[in-house]
Amino acid sequence: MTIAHDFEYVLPRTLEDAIDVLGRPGAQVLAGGTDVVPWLRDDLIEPALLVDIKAIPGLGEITIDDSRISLGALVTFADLIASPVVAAHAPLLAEMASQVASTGVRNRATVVGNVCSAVPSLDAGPALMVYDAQVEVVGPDGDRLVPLGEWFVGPRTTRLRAGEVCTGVTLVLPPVDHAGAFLKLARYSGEDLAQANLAVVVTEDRNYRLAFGAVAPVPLRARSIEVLLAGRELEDSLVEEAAQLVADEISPITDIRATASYRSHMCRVMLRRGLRAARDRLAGTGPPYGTHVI
Amino acid sequence: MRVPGMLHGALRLADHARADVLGIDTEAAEALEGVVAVYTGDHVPGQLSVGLIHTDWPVFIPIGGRTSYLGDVLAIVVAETQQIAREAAELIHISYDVHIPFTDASSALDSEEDAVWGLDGNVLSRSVYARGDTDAALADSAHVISEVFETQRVEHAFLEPESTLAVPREDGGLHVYSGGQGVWDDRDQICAVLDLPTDEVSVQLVSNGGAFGGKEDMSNQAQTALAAHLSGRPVKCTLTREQSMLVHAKRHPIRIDLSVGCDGDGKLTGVKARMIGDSGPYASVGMKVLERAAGHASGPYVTPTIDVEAVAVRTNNPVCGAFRGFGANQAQFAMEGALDRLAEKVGITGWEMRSRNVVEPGVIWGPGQRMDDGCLGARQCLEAVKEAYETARSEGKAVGLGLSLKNSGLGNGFKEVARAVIRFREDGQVEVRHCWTEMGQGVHTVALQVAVTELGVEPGRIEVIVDTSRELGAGQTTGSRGTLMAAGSVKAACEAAIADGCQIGVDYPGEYIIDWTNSLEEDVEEPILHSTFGYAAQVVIADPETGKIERVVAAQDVGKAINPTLCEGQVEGAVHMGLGYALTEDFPTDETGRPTNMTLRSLGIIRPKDMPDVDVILVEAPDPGSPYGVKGVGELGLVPTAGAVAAALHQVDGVWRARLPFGVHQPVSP
Repeated sequence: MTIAHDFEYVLPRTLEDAIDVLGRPGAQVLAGGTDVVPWLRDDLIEPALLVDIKAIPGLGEITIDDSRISLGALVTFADLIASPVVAAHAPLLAEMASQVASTGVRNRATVVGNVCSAVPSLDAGPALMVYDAQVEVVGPDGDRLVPLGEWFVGPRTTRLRAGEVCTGVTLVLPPVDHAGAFLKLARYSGEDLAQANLAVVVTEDRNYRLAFGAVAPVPLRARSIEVLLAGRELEDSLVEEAAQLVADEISPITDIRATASYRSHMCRVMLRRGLRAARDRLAGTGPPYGTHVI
Repeated sequence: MRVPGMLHGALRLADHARADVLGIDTEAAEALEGVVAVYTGDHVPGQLSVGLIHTDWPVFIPIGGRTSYLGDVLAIVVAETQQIAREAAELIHISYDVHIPFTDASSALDSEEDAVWGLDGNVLSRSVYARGDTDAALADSAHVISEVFETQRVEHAFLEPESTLAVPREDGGLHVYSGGQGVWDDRDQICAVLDLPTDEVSVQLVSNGGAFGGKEDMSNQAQTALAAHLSGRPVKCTLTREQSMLVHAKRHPIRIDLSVGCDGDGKLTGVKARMIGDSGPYASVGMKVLERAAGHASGPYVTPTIDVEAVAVRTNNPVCGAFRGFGANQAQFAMEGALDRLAEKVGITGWEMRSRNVVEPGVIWGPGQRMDDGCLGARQCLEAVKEAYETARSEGKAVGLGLSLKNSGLGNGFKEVARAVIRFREDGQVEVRHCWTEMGQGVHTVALQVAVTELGVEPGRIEVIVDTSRELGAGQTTGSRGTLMAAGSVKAACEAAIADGCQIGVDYPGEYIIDWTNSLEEDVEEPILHSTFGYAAQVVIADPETGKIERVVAAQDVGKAINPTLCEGQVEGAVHMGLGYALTEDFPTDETGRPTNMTLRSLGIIRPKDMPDVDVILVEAPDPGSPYGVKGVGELGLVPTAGAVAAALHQVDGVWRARLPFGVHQPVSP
């Protein structure tokens, strides 16, 4: 389908210029375009103005400062896979990125765009949440930081206000050694949206962080399970106990990609396997990052 | 393919699955620049309908006629380019009086109204047989399973859509390049439509980019030939993917009401099956598919009593006809399901259940046939997968086993004749003419191998040819009979050549004839329904938590593997198709008879990345009555798969599945 209605297109060279034009009615930010362009084609959005942020310098960087990793708004999933910073400090992100869509889309789609589109099945959501990520927002009234846990309001709805642009997302690394795992359940290998996904982080001091996606209106941290596990060794019986809590945390629906009951069943399986994989990776005995454990 | 002066044809298909055609206005189409002509049913000089068995499939629905499915053809446009032809085809204005189509087989069966234009009643066929008192046997059984199994409609999804090129010959006749599955049938049907004697139409086979049964019926051959014949110019017509999906026959959805009983040890006591197949509007080979489903109802097992009825029903859904497996898949999905449920009741494994009931030489099978030594392959297949089955179970995997049989050849009383001709040329080359369609399966290679073996010449000297220059016609390349009958006829031709000293420029004919089978209707004791059966056992190994299929071990008895690599390819491809059948493939229609999955993507074909490993084990239990012991290989490999998948998934979530496809929402939560 072709795009059926007219809109203006601007390519600002600075963030300030972008903020200026974003104040106009019907403005829509454009980055990788892998969501925005299909939405235009399907008449899901009808913006008067597309503000392309790809010419704004500095938004394509992945930087590390002490324990914080910042991803600029133009960082793509392919960038995550190629990044030495990610490989050294948070390989879970690359494991997530490698399961997003296809090579062509990964070359184009941005991580921040994924977070802004906020579809319930987004892969970046759970992976960033286990790092207590914060979203950086710039608007006419200045900057603000929004914790990712508060960012998602509902399907395709976020805390972003009219006239604002999201410039990046910052992750906070745990203070001690850690390992992770990202599990994506899909109907086939590659090129599918998640039926369910799960990010797991296990730290050396036995703290556990877990975030599910595609099994609730927004990605969510499984706090009750984190509390249950905190400080404890991952014995099989404990893992089983944790799996029994999954149903209380998630609220899956039945849709074209999976039934609610299948999602529930598989989330329990994913939790068991994800926890074990992350634990074993921390011990140096787990499957290498990129190995699908589901 | 292109020839000088070639025009392009495009079909205009029906807009409604069941509607009276009040008018066909071709004015706007004809006015489009580049359009040469538009032909409709009014231009047909001969027979309006064609068909492999019944002559009931109109090549055009004329004004005053009534469409009976969305693949009906209203007109063919001939133009300078394909684009113009296709554009013009859409400019044809057709006025209709639309009727509610029959899209449910049971409703059509119960209705007094005829679903299909010009055809009386909605029962295409009824195949019935019985041995012993099945009801009494079931009543006395230790365990009985009664369940309704339902299978889905499936699209073949061959790579190349149907294409025909028809070229007027200098002598006034017509030369047609066809991508069908049987060029003599194509020729005879084209001649009937054009009202020409058979020597005025020659049909040359073009290797057709896959068929799986979907190219047995005529698709656009008659319309393209008509366009070339009337315009006096070469015309090529290639269906779009959408047209291809609408036009050609699919795999039958069949509802199977099945009751199977066994004694306390798991020995079968009786099988009772009632099958209703949605056959679409025209016969194609639908009655033979339901007949085959009926014959194969008991699978490769011995039962003292059996009572089967299979009905093919006319509807306004897509035509259903030949598709790899030909009814055996549907019937044995149900039978394998019943067997596994009974095994659970008896308290034995699926392997043990099959081992206790599998056919052995000398037993009476299914409709009453006494099995010969060829059926040793069934137990050999079971034994071949036993270790993989036991090992996977001991590793805690979810494991399912399927065992199946499938006939080779048409059988059921049909006289099958295959001919071949060997000719030594002046230049030292040897022409091997046979009568089977090469569609990627390698039948040309088989013919070459046989000729090389029998004549003792280098492969480079052999030229394998299929054309209608000799009367070799054997009908369709179908029923897993290509290798069997090509080998038989080429071998005979080679023997005739050797006996005569292999003289140059002489046609040495050879024949392979199967004329000793009986139909279901014949009143004979111990009828021979089929000359040859092959057997296959498959073990499906899945992750016990996720149901993800990790490996399939496929043992297949081919009698004699003429070309082991090709056999392996056939089995691997069949397992792929069988897994799609089990899990994701579907071609449903809506209440207007319109298919809802109209792209290759939406058909649910399993992607290469998602294919599990397939371990092929070729078993060779020779058929006592066939050349080299050959049994055939094409179809059997997907017959046991769905049942094996169902059994494996049952181990994951405890749910017995009875409806195909199982879907992506598996397993379900306990």
